[in-house]
Amino acid sequence: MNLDFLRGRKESATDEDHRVDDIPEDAIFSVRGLQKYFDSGSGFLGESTPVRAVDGVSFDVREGETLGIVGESGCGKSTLAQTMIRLQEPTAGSVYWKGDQDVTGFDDARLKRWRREIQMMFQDPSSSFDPRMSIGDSITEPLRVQGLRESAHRREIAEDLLERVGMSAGHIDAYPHEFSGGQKQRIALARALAVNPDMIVADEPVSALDVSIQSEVLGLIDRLQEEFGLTMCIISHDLGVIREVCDRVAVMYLGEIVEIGPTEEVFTSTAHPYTKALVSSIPVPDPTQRGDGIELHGDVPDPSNPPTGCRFHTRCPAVVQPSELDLDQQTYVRLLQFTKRLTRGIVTEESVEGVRELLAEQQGIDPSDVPREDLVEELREEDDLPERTGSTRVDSALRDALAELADGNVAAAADELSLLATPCASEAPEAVDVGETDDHTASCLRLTSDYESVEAVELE
Amino acid sequence: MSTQTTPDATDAASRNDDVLLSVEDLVVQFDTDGGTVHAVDGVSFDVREGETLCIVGESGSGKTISCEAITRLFRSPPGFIRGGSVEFDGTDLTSCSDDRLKEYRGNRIAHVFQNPQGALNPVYTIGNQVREAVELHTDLEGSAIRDRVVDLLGEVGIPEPVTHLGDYPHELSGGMKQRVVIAMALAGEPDLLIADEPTTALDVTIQKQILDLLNDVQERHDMSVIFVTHDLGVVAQIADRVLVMYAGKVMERDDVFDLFESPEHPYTAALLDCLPGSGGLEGIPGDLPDPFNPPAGCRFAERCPAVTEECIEGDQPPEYPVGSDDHTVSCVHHAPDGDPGELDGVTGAIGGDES
Repeated sequence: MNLDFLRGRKESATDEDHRVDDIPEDAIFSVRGLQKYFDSGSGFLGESTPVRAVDGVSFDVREGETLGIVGESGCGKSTLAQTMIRLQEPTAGSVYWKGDQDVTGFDDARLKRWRREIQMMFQDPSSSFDPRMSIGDSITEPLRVQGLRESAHRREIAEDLLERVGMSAGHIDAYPHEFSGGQKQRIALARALAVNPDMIVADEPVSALDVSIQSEVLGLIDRLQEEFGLTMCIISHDLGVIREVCDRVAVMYLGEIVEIGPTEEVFTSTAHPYTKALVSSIPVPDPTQRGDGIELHGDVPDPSNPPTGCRFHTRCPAVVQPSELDLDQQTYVRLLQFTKRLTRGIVTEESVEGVRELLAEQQGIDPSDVPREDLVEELREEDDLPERTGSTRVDSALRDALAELADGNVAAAADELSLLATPCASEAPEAVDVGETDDHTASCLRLTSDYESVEAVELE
Repeated sequence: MSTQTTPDATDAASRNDDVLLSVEDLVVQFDTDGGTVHAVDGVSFDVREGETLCIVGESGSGKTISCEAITRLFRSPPGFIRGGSVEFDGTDLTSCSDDRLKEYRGNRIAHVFQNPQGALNPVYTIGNQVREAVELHTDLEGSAIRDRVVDLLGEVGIPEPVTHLGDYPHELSGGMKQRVVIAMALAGEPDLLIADEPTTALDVTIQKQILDLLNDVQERHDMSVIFVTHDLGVVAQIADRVLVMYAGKVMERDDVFDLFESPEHPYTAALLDCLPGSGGLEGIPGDLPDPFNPPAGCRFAERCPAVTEECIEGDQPPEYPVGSDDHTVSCVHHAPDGDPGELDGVTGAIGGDES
């Protein structure tokens, strides 16, 4: 494919300042402390807490590798993808191209030129094409935008690209609706390749496809990556996809990277409790291995008000107990979650009243006549709280808390349980080196020498 | 369950003891401007009491339509059941009037769909929606209804159900919404729950929660479940038996353990090979056959690595028995006069050859 006209115009890697200090030699794309906040726009009296979609993310993508970014919906991975290539302007932080060019400082002209060095591929192959444009025109639109005016030349390139992605050049004049999802995703790949980019960022490139088509497209990505010497960054919620095609993987939770390292190592010597839970949630295609794995409770918390300390601690099965306590871990987690429900306004005075009314109906009496001890017992049962925890201090605190709750004093109930406070809520964990290789890090207090290791805790 | 109506249940006992639902030779077609879509083309299956049957297949396999045909949920026209029977507890549902069918929907056969957002009404609180289901499918009255609503929401794992009665669907996460939908499905204490891709729109950690929940409620209520999915990983986790569909036909059926150990149909083998982590990155080359004009012979022939002359003529091959009682395969190579040797390296080689 003759793309010389582009090469001459590509930026040489020597302008602007020299390589930024902590960026490794082989990094082609680096993100440092990237933040993207959205105004939630619904604040009372003009106050609004921003949604912290991406909150201080740093990583490098090395030349020729595929980096995967994995996480659940709402973890900020798509925002990260869009912000790092400046489809959205970051709130703070920097993005470096080839180690020395500050992308966040690019002016419009430079940004436009950069757009042919880095390309993006999206999840929904149907909405990423103009239905009124033939696929040949769609594929070469980036070339036209970048200044290739000869249409005959563009057509030649489109035909060549179609064949490279495993389609017939004869399809060039067809329209998007004539193709299946898998074919459209191939065409999207051809379009991304049209400007001969150095790197492609793909956001959920195969999520909308059937499994048989999924692995076909992944295979194609793999093959083209070698052929074109491409660097890839693939964003996906699907750990299977990530494991299949990525060299390294970054695991995101609520706007932060909690673990990053070589894919196989992250999957086999998993360090972070969240990654462990994610990996063990993948349904194993083997009916003889059923029902194992860690079940996470609840949902991803609200990113406009993320938990303090380690953001995962509200759902973490391995959350650290305060040094004075040594409860059974599951009991501790249950108690801690009850405390959270009190402080986060999920258990309220009204919900206690609701329970009181329910009891009154059952017993056929007036709500005000419901005996206090009955209400306490019902509340204990409702929240599945144990009578005995193995610690007399905790037992009595829990009794007092339930009594306060029965009287409608939610805040006082939460105060009674303050002895349960976890260090994870006050201390934000630093990324520490784990595993055998030197590029595997994870952020969890249990990985530091001050606390018992994750392995010492029964997670299931 | 006092509200259950059991018409013609008398002769049910005389049939195959534990079969709750028996679908025979079902044909469903959609008449469209472009022609007739052959969505389901002669599909048979049984669901036994208390078991989970997984119907697995990709888009266009007819798995969803097969399930919707049981209680005729699709719009008619354009959709028509053009053949076959759906016998539920002794009654052929295909010959029931719409009014009669309503006695089954929600009461004895409940559905849970992929998209919980679409199954809930955005302008009513979840308390009201579950209440509606309870009022419709039980004869509880007064405060007993509210108690039942709270119980149902508690059973499906909504924390502090009393507080959540006044929540609107948009205030809940996808996982929580699906729990509410399951609570509504359980309101009538159905004998059969049909769950169509109930976890596909959810994250893996939430998917795990919902699968565990479905397992629990199935055991507690001793229900039968038809679980429709494209994900063989999910199948392995929850199925008792599996039906593999492709382009409106059944390719293979088997007990789940046996199927994963020795898939005999080239399509099943190819699907397993596509699972991330199995090493295959080739996919299944080619596309689904034209649903307006399905080809002669085996529907999968065009994409099959073991295709022979015989495969592309006549009808879809009969379902030939292999090995265990439950295992049948619709493939000419498994015919009594066929040569299973033709499948060497096709069905055995999971994660096999390289590009």
